[in-house]
Amino acid sequence: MNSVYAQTMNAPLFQFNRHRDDIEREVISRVVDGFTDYAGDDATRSLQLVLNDAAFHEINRLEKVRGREGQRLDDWKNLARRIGRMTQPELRDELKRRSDWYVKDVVGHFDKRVYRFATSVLPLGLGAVFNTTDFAQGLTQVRDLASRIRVEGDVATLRELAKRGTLVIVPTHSSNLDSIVLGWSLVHAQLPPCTYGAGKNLFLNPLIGYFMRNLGAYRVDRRLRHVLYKDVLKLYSQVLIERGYHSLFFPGGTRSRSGQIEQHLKLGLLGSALSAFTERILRGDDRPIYIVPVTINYPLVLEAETLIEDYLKEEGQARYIIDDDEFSRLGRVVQYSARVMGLQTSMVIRYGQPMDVFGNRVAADGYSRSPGGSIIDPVGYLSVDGQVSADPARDAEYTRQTGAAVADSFLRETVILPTHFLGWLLFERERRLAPHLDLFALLRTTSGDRHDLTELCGDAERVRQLLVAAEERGQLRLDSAIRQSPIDEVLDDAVRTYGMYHLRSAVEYGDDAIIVRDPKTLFYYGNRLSAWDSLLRDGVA
Amino acid sequence: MTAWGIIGDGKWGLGLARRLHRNGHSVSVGGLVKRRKGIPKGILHTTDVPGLLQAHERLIIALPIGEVETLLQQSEVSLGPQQRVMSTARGLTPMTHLRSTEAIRTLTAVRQLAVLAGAADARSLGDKSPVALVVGSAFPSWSAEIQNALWSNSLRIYTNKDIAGVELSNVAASVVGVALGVARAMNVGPAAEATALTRALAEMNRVVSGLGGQFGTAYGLAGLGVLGEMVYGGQGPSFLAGASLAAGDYQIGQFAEVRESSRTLSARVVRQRIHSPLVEAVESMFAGRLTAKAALAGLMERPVGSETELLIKS
Repeated sequence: MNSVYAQTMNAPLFQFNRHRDDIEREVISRVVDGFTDYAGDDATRSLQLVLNDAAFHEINRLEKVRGREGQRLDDWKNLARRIGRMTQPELRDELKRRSDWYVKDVVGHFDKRVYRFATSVLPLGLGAVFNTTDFAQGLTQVRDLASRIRVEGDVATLRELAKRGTLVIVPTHSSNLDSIVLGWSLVHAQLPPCTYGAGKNLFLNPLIGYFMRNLGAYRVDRRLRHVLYKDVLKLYSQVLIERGYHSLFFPGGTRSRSGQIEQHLKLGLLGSALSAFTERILRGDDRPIYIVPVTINYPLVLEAETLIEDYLKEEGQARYIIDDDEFSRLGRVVQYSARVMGLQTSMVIRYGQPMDVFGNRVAADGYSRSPGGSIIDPVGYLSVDGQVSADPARDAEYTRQTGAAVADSFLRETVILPTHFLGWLLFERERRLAPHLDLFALLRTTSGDRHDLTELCGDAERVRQLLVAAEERGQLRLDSAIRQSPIDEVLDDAVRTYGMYHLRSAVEYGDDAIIVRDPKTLFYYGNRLSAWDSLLRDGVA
Repeated sequence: MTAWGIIGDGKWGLGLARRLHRNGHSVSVGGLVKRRKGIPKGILHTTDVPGLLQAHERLIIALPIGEVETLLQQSEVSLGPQQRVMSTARGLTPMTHLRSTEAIRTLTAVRQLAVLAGAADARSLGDKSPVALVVGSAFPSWSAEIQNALWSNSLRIYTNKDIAGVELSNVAASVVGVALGVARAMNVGPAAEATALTRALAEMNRVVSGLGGQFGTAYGLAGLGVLGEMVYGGQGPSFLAGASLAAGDYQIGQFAEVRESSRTLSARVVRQRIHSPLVEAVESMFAGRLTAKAALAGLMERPVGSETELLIKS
């Protein structure tokens, strides 16, 4: 038994299979009660509405699909015809049946043996993925991997908090590799395994799908937009947190298409954490729930080219499901991984300061703190005249505020790497050269532009000073190379990094100059710094 | 009946205390002076402000904006998650240029915050004149509670979820109102005054939305309501400060609250690069950099654009 396995085997997820049926039953009964919690005719109407909405969306969707899934079309059509004539008990039964189907579609699984295998082999396996050339070197690679992925932040405190309460880990999202590298970082930091929702399309990759299925991931079908499904999903994640399962979700919703750090967060799942906390308090269970923001900072992003194309194509409207990107092409994953091993700059996974479900800072002792530093009891936020009460409108505002605190943390804990730095700098210089051009015209016309190295280093040095000052104010974090290395080495690191993986290098060297080759890639990496645009622009001559 | 603690025994504090007491609530008011005169019967008065803060879940902070941070920075004062606070302070804090509820949020653990604003002056709040005010709060149950506690047939309380917008409209109105006072005193005529009012509203919307409020909140009681009171009544500190600037007899120290609002708001709009010619002109007049005549000439000479474009563009 390896040490990580021993350290984390008390984690709640190890008991998951034993409680799974019970969890399913609880979710279904709460979904059904939620829609029937009205008197008389109102309950009938509420049940009719939710079933009607589900039927409408499912029929619309299933009419366009073929195969096994398409066979369910008749069943939904049949229901749609009957809804108006059904009695209240019949409607309840029907809702129960449908909820049961969705819960079973969503619910995850946890296999101890797979976890044990994964924790002992994953570092090696990931090492293999990240370095195909000398897999045989075994242990050396574990060390190599640790040198390519740097885990930062106060993980010792998080380990303690995981014993006291339930962790809800909320990372930034740039790549489908996120859940894998984050899973690796949990093992590496000796943090307990987490359950998490993953897009159903990710389970299509047989190898990764197998691990995800058996390591606590549950399936989220993003094609389903109706109220019933959303409710099932929300309650499922909420019940897991209530029962103490450490959880993980990406509050940005989907991968950041533009490369920017997510600032508009989806509040639904953060709301689940608050609802779970309230529910626990109402039941007399005062174990805390801790929100842990995490930033995942890649020097190179596997899917950068597809993501930025998608961003530009949709002009900001996310195409929710991309199933044909670099992640689905094994060759690209292997190529990417091999190249990442050769980089000088590490990928950084940075665990931020934990907060309670209201966004208050939590100190190492596990208690929430006021801005002034005194210990506070967050239960007070839910009480009126000493009585804890449910108030959805109040809680929605609390959740909005927690979302803002997470978004702030994402900015403060982002680690700026040389590729982000050079991307921002070059793109900003292009903007200056052609202030009359809009973004799309800039992206079309700047390929081949030459940036004199002496001038570029001058700008880079000034921008670096601004970044260092911002880091001292606690606004962001810098990779040590940006902070300390001679500026030409920082730029050189970025130029070489771009060249190592992308099909078309973003830039290349010319005579005493850097020449722009792929403005879109530069724009993508530079966007990581866009939150500080107005601050940094003063540094560009 | 619920228990309310009010910090500040000035006109606003006592006016609200009277209204709450009349509606059957138990009210304690905290101030600095012992045995303060004019405390209505049935209302408790104390100088133990920290004790009063500690003892009440429902609190009203009715202090001038300059004193809000000072109060909350006192070591013995600590507000907790269970407390709900409404502020009546108008303006931005002197050093940090924050709205009063922003300052409370920054310094304490309180989340359920509200602000009370509108055209009523403290005197009309104290007597039974019919007035209307707006409560800004992102927490509907807290604003509803305030609404119910204060509401009477002589006081209408509207609610607005845009707390930042209500506070910013209120401070912006007190600053652009100076320009309207200048216009009246310079006898520019009704058409020019109407133009000034229209542009003032457009500017208020820009300032409010640029600083985190919602576009449109300035059309409510805290914005247009306050301007309307000045224009119809020809009164109010902002309007009178404008008259004094127009006459060239303004002296440092006069209209201190309006002067301070102008200083802090202009600092914040300049920092955030919000196009606000009236706010900047008022500040220049206060600072003695510009006469009223020169300010008017400057405003008239500026390049002119589309009315609607200028309404939304910063």
